Amino acid sequence: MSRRWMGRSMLLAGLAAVPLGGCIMIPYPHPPSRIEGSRRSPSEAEIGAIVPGQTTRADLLLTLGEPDHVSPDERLMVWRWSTSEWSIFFAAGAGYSGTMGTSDVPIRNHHAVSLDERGVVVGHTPLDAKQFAAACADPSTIKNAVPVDRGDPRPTAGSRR
Amino acid sequence: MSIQPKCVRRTSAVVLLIVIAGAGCAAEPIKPVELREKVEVELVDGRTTREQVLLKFGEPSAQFEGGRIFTYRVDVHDDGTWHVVGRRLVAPKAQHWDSTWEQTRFSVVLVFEGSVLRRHSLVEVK
Repeated sequence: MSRRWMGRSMLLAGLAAVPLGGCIMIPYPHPPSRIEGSRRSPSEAEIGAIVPGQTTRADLLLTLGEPDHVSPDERLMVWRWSTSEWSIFFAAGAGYSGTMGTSDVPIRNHHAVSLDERGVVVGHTPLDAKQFAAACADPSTIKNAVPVDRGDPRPTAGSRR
Repeated sequence: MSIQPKCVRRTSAVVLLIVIAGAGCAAEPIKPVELREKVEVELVDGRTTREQVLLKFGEPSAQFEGGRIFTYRVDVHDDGTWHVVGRRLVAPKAQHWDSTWEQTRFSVVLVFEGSVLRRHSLVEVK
C-alpha cells in the first residue's frame, strides 16, 4: 500500500467522520523513528564499546552521556529512549466541528549496565519496559542478564540529582 | 507625458519594500556555531579546575563517584548560542520521562582528578 494512497484514504476517512459526528482511529505502520523529545538510541559502536571487566563508570558516561536511571549505589545505570513503529490516525467530529491528527505509539527502550564495587562494568543488556520496571523493584530479576553483586552495598558515593 | 513626483515616491517606496522583503527571503539562515568549538575553549583537560567549571556552568544536572564526575545538559539555539539546562528543567516527571531531554542537545560529561579536569566529552543526545 503506497504512502500516498494511505494518506488519501485517511484524509477521506477523517473528512467522512466529521459530518457523521463520530470518531475513528486507524493504526498504521511506519519505519522506526525516534519519538520527539526522547534522547537518541545508543549506536552499535557505543554499545560495542562497553566491555565487561574493562570499561569503567567514567568511560561509560563519557561514551553514552548522563544516564536516565541510577541506583543509589551507582552500580546499576540505565539509559532509555523511545522509538515508534506505529502511529494512529484519529479523526473526531460533532456537528460542524471536528479534529484530526496522528499520534505515535511509543516503544520504551532501555539499556542497563551493572558495575562492580570498583566502578568497572560487570555486564550489560537491553531491557523492555516490563523488565525495567521489574529491575527497579528488584534488581535481582535481571541478575542473570546483568550480573549485579548483591553483597554489602557501599555507601552512596555520589548522588543522582 | 509627465510623471508626478508623488507617484514616483510611492513607486519607489513599494519597490524598496519589495527589495527588502526579497533580500530577507534570499538571506542564508544563520548557521549554528559548532558547540564543541565554544565549549572546548572553556574546558581544557589538565588545566580547567572544578571551581572554574562550577562558576561557569553552575550546578551539574548529576554527579557520580562522590563528585569526581559531573554531567551537564546543554541546549543549542538556532543562532548558535547555547545554555546549560537548569536542574529544575531536568527534574524527572513520573509520567513523561522522555520530556526530560526535550530541551537538551548535548550531555556534557566531565571527569576530574582531584580538582582538575582530566577527561571530558560532549555526547549528542538528539
